[in-house]
Amino acid sequence: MKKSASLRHLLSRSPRKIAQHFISWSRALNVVQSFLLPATLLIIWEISVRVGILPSTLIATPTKVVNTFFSMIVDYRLIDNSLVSLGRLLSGFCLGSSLGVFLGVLVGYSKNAARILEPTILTLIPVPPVAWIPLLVIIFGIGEMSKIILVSIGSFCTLFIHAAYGIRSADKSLIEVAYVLEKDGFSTLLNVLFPASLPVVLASMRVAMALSWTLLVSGEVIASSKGLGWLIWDSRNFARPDAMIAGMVAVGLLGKATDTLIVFLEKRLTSWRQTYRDI
Amino acid sequence: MSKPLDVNIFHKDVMVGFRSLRILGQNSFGLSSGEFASILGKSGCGKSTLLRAIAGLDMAFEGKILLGEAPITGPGLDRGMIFQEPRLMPWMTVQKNIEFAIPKTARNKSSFEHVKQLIHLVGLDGFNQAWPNQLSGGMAQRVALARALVNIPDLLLLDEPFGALDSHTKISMQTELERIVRYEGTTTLMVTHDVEEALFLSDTIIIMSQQPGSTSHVISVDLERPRSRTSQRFLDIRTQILEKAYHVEEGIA
Repeated sequence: MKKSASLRHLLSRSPRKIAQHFISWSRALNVVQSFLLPATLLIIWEISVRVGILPSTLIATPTKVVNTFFSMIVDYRLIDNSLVSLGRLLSGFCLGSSLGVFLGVLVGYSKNAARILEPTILTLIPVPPVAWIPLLVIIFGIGEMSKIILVSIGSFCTLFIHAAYGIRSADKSLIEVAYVLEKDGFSTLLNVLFPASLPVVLASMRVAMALSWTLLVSGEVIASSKGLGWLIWDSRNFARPDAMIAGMVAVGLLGKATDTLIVFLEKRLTSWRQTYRDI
Repeated sequence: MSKPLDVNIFHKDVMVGFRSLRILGQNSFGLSSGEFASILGKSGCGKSTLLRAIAGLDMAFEGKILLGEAPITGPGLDRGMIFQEPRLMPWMTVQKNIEFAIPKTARNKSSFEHVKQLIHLVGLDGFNQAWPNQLSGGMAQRVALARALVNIPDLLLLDEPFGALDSHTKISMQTELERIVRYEGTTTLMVTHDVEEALFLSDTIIIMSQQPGSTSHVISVDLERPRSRTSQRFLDIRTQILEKAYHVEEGIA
């Protein structure tokens, strides 16, 4: 609301003022701020390899990486492996987080469900997802399923804990309102408890998504013949540091994209809140 | 649609540590249909506890409360409740907050029309789609009032509804409340610690004493409406109440 108001205010001014707004020094400074750190790091990296501080046989220069990155897009290797990885990531994330939210909400809402389910789930959660890899490979082989399940374990654990916490920390005074209005349990859950848990659930989705990438790439490095994790590891084995780093760059860019997607979702679904973000 | 209220509470005890503490004593009073009554008492005297009992939020007491002919056994839509804070759902717009109070089976075109009328009645035209965090404290409390009235309750319960508002907003909200309650004709019971507020609004003032909280005086206020806060009669009764309820001598208050 605030943003559209400021935009309207802006558009009501003269074209010269609008132009000034977009090319103002403070805006230019904002852009410089965002690029300062990555540019510096890239320059240091490039120089270190060229001067010979870092061995060029083991580490490629940024310019070489960019070159390889684009040639791998053209020969489709990067796109192909990215699509495979994205498919696994999104299937695992959706599967794990929907189950995590469902059971977390259930356990947060019902004390009976908590007594039946929670001790078991809370005992399984401390087992690091990576420790599941051998078992998953035994059960599912190195096909798609083992990676999808691995990713979903991480998302499940994160979302389960946070959804249960979100439901339990809902404001008692609002629940009292639902009680006075004679709302049944389901209506209270749907209209009071679940919306109250949304900010926590969506914030934990970001964490779950980051964890999903970690697990996906780990799984692909250990047990796969496709995907970005496999590409990175395979490039290392063939002594292609440029392709290896290009794979890492692809993971970084796609990871940023999925994170942006969830932040967008978060802003959409919790627009009723006014927080520090909106100032 | 409003009904008379008959409160007859003998006592209410709570356990504090290993000791039983009597927080409510004898409280017997009645409200006729359409009457506006206030419970006045010092902070901590148990007046909110009494109101919560009538709302059905706290049923652990000895005694009986009748609304019309029926005893109160729990919360119900025949009573509209307003808390000290607006307690709106932050994720629902003004209109959705009011609609939420309507039971699912009763939602239809005419009930939604009623919501719009209530929004108009509480003076919030144009704010239907606003989020609660965009409202001022007074506006939010108006939404809470509309929500409490939407099911056309037999009894309206208010727990220090204007306690958190500044004095300007408070006075205008009191005037609004009087207008709306007169218009709807609802039996109303309000808890307050503000003598002037009680006197401005009530037909009857119930004064509670402390430890245990019990009805000590029931004063009927025979001032004609609209009331003036500065008339001599108003000030005289105010002094009388201050002396009774708070044992304050004139001049010290």
